[in-house]
Amino acid sequence: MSLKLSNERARHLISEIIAGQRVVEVRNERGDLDLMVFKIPRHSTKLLADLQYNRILKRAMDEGIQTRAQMERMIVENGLVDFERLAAQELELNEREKRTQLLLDNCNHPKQRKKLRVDLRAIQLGLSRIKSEREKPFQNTAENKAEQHRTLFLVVQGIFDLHGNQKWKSVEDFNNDRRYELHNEAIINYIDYAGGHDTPTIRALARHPEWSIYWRSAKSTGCPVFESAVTEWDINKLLLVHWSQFYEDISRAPEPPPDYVIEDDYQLDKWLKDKRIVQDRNSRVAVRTDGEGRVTTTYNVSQPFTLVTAKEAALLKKEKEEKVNA
Amino acid sequence: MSKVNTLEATLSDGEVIVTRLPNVTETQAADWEFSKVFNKAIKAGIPPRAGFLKELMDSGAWTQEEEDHTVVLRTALDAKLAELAEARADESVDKEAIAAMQTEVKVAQQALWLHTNKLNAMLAHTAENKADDAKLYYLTYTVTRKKDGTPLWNSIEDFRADTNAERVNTAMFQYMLLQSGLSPEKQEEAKKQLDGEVADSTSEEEVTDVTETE
Repeated sequence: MSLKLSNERARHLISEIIAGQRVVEVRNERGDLDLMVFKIPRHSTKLLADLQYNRILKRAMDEGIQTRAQMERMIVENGLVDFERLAAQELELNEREKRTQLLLDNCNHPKQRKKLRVDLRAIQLGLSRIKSEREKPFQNTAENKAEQHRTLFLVVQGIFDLHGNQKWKSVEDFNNDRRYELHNEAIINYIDYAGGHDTPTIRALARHPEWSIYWRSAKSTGCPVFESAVTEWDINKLLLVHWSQFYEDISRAPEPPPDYVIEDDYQLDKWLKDKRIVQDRNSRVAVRTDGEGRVTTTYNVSQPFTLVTAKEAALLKKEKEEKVNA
Repeated sequence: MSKVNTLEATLSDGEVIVTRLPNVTETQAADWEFSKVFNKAIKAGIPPRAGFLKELMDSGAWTQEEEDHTVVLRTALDAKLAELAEARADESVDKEAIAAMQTEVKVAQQALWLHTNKLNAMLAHTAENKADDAKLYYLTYTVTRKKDGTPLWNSIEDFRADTNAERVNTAMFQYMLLQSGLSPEKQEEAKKQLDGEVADSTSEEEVTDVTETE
């Protein structure tokens, strides 16, 4: 089952992506709502953040905080992580995850599917805990400290008020503002925003009729789909264009899948994988022959992906076989 | 409901100390302190948590059955957390159902905490715990002020050297209380309990840290 967006939600997300910003209501200490505008930082801001990173990295190293490479050695030498125990737990969870995913893929009963989704989520929580336990010592590295500072710098640079003014002029300004609850909410929300929408959301949006109107209009008029230059696009814009083109290619395939498959990410990916296998089989026909026409090597040629019908694939295969035989 | 950002306490000698929550930079600085002490502790030969846990299991102080039960409780907690996350993502689930699930999560957390309590006590002398203590001391030092807003201690060294156990304990307790996110009523309840305990404490202890072990 894939994510379904209501028209209202889709319209809201489209506006956010086109505007390249998100308006967020954050509750402050007094319980009042504070409005903030989140923007993805520009490249020049990212460069400044990199400078900040380098500065903090150097300071941390000067103060004797281990680098990632030193920490790797420290982990081995001092047994900071029980890799054996974690690997055993991980193995068990990975197997459970595979089994549950398989059951989910083959289950049509809504109630059971829900239960399996919960199980899958619980397993993934366990796996992420193992990952975090394995990564924990690295939180004490100079690189991690530098990254924390870079993130805070980007958060401060990326939050505005409704008039377009930066909410906090600097990190110092941010710290002097003692609305801690607001800070935490702002940081969590901003990091969530700056990471971009997840793939299921972008895919749901890309195939949504509300977005298709924009996409088709831009295509038919030759107008750019977003105002700024491609190099200035944020991750949401880039991914939305990528997935819009993907669904357009799917719909133009000689034998496109039925709508219910297109609407379901898992089923569509499976359909696509099957198509690729057909094409893969065809591409293996490419061979090298010796001077007397004998086949010496068979190649698995990777060609640009094109959608073909099963009939076309069979024809293609036959043609190639005939060439080889000739 | 608005949360409390500062706490005030009057010590037996009439001195008033005010504790506030740390800002992001102060939290980062405390993490910095954690990392420095953690690295130092490892270099000083203090065992890490993972290594010490193995030793405890080898000696039978913490058994394989107990460890297995931890995994069972953690898995149960994960299941409750997953259920809650799934319900939150589903618009058709009402607030009451979500509140009931939140309670179930708390119960599962409590069960895990009770079970691992004994183990955590045994792990008090690991590098991670020394670093945790250092972080707590740093944060307590940095967020505690006099009534007029000036710092109570001029440096972290001053804080560590403070022999007034009532002042140090109250400051640490106030900070932990603020950080716990408890409601003002619950905080008041906990403070009353502490007042009784602090009045009973007569010994003057110094705050120890990992540097003393070197």
